[in-house]
Amino acid sequence: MAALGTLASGIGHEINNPLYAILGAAEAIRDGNDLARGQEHAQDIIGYCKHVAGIIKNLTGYIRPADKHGLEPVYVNTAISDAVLMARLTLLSDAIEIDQRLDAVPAIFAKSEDIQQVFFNVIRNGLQAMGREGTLEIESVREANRVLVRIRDTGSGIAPGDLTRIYDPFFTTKGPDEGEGIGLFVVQQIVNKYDGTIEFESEVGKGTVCAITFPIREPNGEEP
Amino acid sequence: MKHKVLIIDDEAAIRKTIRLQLEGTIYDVLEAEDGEKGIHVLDNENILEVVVIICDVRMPKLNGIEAVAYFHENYAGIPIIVLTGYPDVQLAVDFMKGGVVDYLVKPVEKDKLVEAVGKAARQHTLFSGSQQPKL
Ligand SMILES: Nc1ncnc2c1ncn2[C@@H]1O[C@H](COP(=O)(O)OP(=O)(O)OP(=O)(O)O)[C@@H](O)[C@H]1O
Ligand SMILES: [Mg+2]
Repeated sequence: MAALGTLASGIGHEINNPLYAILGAAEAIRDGNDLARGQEHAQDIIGYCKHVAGIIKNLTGYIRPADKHGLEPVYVNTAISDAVLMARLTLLSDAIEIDQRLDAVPAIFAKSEDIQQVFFNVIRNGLQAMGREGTLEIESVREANRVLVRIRDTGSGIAPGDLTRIYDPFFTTKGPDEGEGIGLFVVQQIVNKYDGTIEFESEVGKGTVCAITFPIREPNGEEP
Repeated sequence: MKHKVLIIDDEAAIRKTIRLQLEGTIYDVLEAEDGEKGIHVLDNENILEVVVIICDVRMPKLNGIEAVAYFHENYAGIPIIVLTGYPDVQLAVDFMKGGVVDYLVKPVEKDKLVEAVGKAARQHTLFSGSQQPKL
């Protein structure tokens, strides 16, 4: 994962911005005497507070280490299909094709929300990178004692210089309303938590392939 | 003569906040959302009127470090205040060595911002004694 300094500075930037806006709006209320304007500032403060709460909610929960209790068998294919369903809701265009080639793979041991979150975040990135047109291919296969999932898009691709930064918290090339840059940070946290692996290959203008593996384990934590 | 402050920050909320904090002072506010746009704004202004640049560090396109270097090269007379979301001692030292007049960490209180802008504006090399802006 990214150096702790990166996380701290990312959080610092991300939270101090809305804090500054809250401070400014509160000062304006304190120093002003126009009720309607004061109400507008108060409304802004409410919005900034929600924004900060959202950031914290996104970050917590994933940074916690894995507790081995509460893990359940998770069927990767189900998690993928659910993630596709959710991601489809955000699609603006029907010129996007989503192709799923899912082998019957054994369950992994995890929390199903975590695994669903991983696929959702990666799939959503792929869809966002394609814009209005393209094909997203998702395949799952068993490889030795691991489940391998490949998610391939025909989108914009990732510039070579950005490839090392995509997991950094708050690294984004998207506009403020489209991305916070948290998606892949969260993905990496979850993948590490379950001893998984993740790799990206990408070519600008052609597309991106993301390969994720998780170990297949017995409920007692032993490898099969 | 006008006293304009150019704010370069990618977040609209921050530009709005600084604008609010400078309301009622002698300063008019110009805004840009990244370093490149900031340069564009300066190219289209009477730069004698731009008394201070306030520049964020983390921005898309031209970031704060690159932007500051560019301003020093091309608009050497205009004092620059760097505004950052996260205190980083090394970065602060580098900026100060690079001729930045102040380094502020968000959130910044109104009085402190107004004071910092005033102090910076008085270092504008294009002002002779009598023209120095007063708050
Ligand atoms: N499939 C992809 N194609 C092209 N670029 C990608 C892809 N996946 C990730 N990226 C790049 O990596 C950056 C970081 O991705 P990440 O998911 O962490 O954040 P985000 O998508 O920008 O925002 P968020 O996921 O928080 O809404 C993206 O902004 C984008 O530049
Ligand atoms: Mg994302």
